[in-house]
Amino acid sequence: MPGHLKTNRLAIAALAALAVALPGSFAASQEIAFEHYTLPNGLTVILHEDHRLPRVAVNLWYYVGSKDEPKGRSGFAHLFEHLMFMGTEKVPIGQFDTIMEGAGGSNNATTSSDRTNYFESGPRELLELFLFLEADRMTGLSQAMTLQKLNTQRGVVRNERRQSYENRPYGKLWLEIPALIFPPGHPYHHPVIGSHEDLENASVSDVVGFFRQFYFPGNASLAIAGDFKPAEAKALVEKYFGSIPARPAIKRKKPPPPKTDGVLRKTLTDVVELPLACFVWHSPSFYLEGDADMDILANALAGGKSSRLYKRLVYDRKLAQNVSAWQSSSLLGSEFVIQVFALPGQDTKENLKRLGVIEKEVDAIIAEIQEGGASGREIGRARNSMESSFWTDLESIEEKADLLNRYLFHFGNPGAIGRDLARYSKITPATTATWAKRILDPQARLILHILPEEKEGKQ
Amino acid sequence: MRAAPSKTAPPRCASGLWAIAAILLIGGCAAPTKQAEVPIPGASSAVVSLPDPEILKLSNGLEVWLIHSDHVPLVDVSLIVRSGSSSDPKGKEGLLSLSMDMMDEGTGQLNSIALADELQFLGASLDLSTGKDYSSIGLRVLKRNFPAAFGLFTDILLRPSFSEQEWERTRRLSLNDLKQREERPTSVARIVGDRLFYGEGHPYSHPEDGYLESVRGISLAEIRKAHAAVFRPGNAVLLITGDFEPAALRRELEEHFSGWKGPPAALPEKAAHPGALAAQQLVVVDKPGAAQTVIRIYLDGKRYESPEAPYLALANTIFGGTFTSRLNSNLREEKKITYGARSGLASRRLWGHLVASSSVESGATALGISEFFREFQEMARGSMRKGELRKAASTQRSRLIESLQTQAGLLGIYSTAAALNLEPTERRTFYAAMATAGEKDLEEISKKIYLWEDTLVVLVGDRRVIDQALEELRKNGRARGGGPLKNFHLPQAKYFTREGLPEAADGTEK
Repeated sequence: MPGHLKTNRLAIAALAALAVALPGSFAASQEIAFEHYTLPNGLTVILHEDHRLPRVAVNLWYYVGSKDEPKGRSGFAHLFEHLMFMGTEKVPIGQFDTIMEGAGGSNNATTSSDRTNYFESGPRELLELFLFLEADRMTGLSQAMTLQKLNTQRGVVRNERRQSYENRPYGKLWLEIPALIFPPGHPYHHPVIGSHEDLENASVSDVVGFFRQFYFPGNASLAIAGDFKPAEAKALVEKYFGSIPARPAIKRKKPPPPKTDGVLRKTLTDVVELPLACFVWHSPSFYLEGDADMDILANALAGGKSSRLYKRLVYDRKLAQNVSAWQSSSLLGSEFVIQVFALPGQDTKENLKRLGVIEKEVDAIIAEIQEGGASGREIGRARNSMESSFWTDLESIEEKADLLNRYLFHFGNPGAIGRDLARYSKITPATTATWAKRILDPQARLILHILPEEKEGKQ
Repeated sequence: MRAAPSKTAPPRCASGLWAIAAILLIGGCAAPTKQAEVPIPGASSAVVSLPDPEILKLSNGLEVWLIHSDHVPLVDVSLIVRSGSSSDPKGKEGLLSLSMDMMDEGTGQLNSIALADELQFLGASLDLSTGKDYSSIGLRVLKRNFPAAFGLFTDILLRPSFSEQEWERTRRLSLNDLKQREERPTSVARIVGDRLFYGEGHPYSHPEDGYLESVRGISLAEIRKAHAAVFRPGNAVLLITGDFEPAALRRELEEHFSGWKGPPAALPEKAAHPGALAAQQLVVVDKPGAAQTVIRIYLDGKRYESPEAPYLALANTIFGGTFTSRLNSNLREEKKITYGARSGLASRRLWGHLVASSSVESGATALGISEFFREFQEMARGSMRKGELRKAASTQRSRLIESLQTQAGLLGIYSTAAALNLEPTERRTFYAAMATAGEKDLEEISKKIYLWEDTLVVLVGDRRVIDQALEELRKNGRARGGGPLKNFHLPQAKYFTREGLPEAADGTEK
């Protein structure tokens, strides 16, 4: 599942951003020309000019996510993201959004397991305002924090949990998976949204501590994209961010790679019509070797009607309503997920039987792709669809600013687009076969079922 | 507050706005206040215009609107068909949508799977969508593969197989989609609400994808007939955005469409007012144990072409259209009972409505309802607060410019004009009206629209929780923790099924 948003209107864009993958057959690196530099206090700044329209986008990544939450504070990084909009001494509560919207700007933020990003865009005249507001909260968020502000966003976030998971069909799946697949103590053991109990326990001193620990220039990167003059932008960055004090770098321990021993099964029920089978494997981390192969495999298995699982389960065997598969990439380890919505049977017994048949078919398809790998045509097909959606992302200054920050975060260089693309051009049927064998082990995975609750009085 | 005079703006840039010229010229006015240290931006000098599409009329009568764009090597195409679900016959709700779904289920030698494979291999994606007034078939493809993909696109449009085998499967999947729709409380609220707001038999009352019962009764022969009736060159407009030389494109299009002929399809008659909303209605759909209650409230809006539509768009931006809107500020940031509250407009050919909605935590159902009504009453008083008009106008302007940055956004601007047979640049009038609107325009429209006594209220959640909340509201005339309401009363609740049919007294479907 994607990160969490201050508001949900961009949820789809966030999903798309997670799914982005870059093909190797075109020269997109020309498209996001940039310059970057680091301020003495450690803030990395990336500038990308695009003068097509009189607009500007600012995108600020902080290198903190739900993986950094202390014990007993699940959901805190995301709750903190909400608090970043609650005002400072200079910009009192409510003013951040009021000032911005008054001038035609809009903003949002998302939190994932690994990072938190804040972004705003609007008419080019707003660049100074955007930089002022971001620098102001980087400087003075915690000094103005109160229990009342915390309580407000606690209430909002708990309703986000209800809306996005509890009151949504199959939503509980995403609350369950982290604890099942990551061991206790692993930074990914809990979902980004957290538990009601932990959210209730968060205190103002937690907010102050978290701010001190993670919100400083050296733990962030700032991308600006759009219609601006670099010299002016640099002067504004210096004016507003230059005097924020440096802090020592965070020392982080990398946990041992997670691993699944054997097959773990779990069955849940929900008020739904169709039974669901969900298969989850540990897979290579974001941008590490094998990550791109898993993207291609996901496409070959379930990307569109001609994919192997769709054709077999939905089209030929008529066992399922829909299938999907994706490589959900993260910093400390990814998940490869296959999800099948089965056609409903008359009762639980029949549903279980059907899920059993589906599992056999899924395993047979996996065995085939482990044997021969994705075909040349499947790889070409995946690359072309990825190229298309990649260009779609490059249409927007908001997406480009985020992409530059993403490359900096993962590759240490905003210009890593070429390196990223090269990963896909190197893929062959043989490499996908290797990774399918290594990752999609039928003897080491999580298998989750969601069954429709038996209805009272159903005839 | 005063506006900075801008070069061509009429003096009614009353609260700090943008200006218009013959083409949509966009220039902002200065902000009203200066907070210490906060660098509030000054006037915008930017001029942005809505591009004029190049209009090509093909020999078979098909109109093509070409919008030049060369910032990415992609081509976006959208065939707008001037028929939507409003043309579904009674009892066959979902017919047009299903016939659209069937279009990419095979053509010529290619079956459904082979066709999908070809398109994906070209880096192409197809988007079939059915709205109330019109339908569209969209294609996005890598420019280098445009000729091949466009060949497939025209095959899909003109020569869909509509085979028995693919139909059987498509219908089964559609029926399951409809069952899944019933699991989502927000979808249920929409289905039930539209059905009751427009009333049985109105062209807008049924969901585009139909009902379980109507879809069960649709045959492949009817699908074929529906397709033939609406897919005619005189009933469609082709929108294209990309980097093309018009004459060459015309030659290519003539080749593809030469065999496509037919008279224009007759548009359905204009329906009258959706029905009797002169009195308040309150309906409840039970979802036992729900963590939240979905509140969805309907009011009359404005038709797409109404001269008042721009003013309503601004007023509604203030009411529930942005993060700092009255609704969201109150229900989310003050009462903290929801992740978000909003209000949107559906401004269609025959009629328009306004929907205000939120999912509130179950325990705050009474508070949620009463605060919606308080905000309606506030709006109906007609007084705009400081900065609200400026915010609404800036936001609308900004969203327009944002939509110009993508090809899909560009096509979106022209789609409705194409569908409703209007001038390609008719939106200039709409945006110009917003640019010059004054507070008085918004006050007038607000007094006419936000009439709390004429609302349809749909509640989807745990019935026991809802009944209790309604009882509290009736008894006290407001909710605990809520602001004051004037002369507030609620009608008797009616209980409905998830498809919008009245529940019988014993709880079973009628």
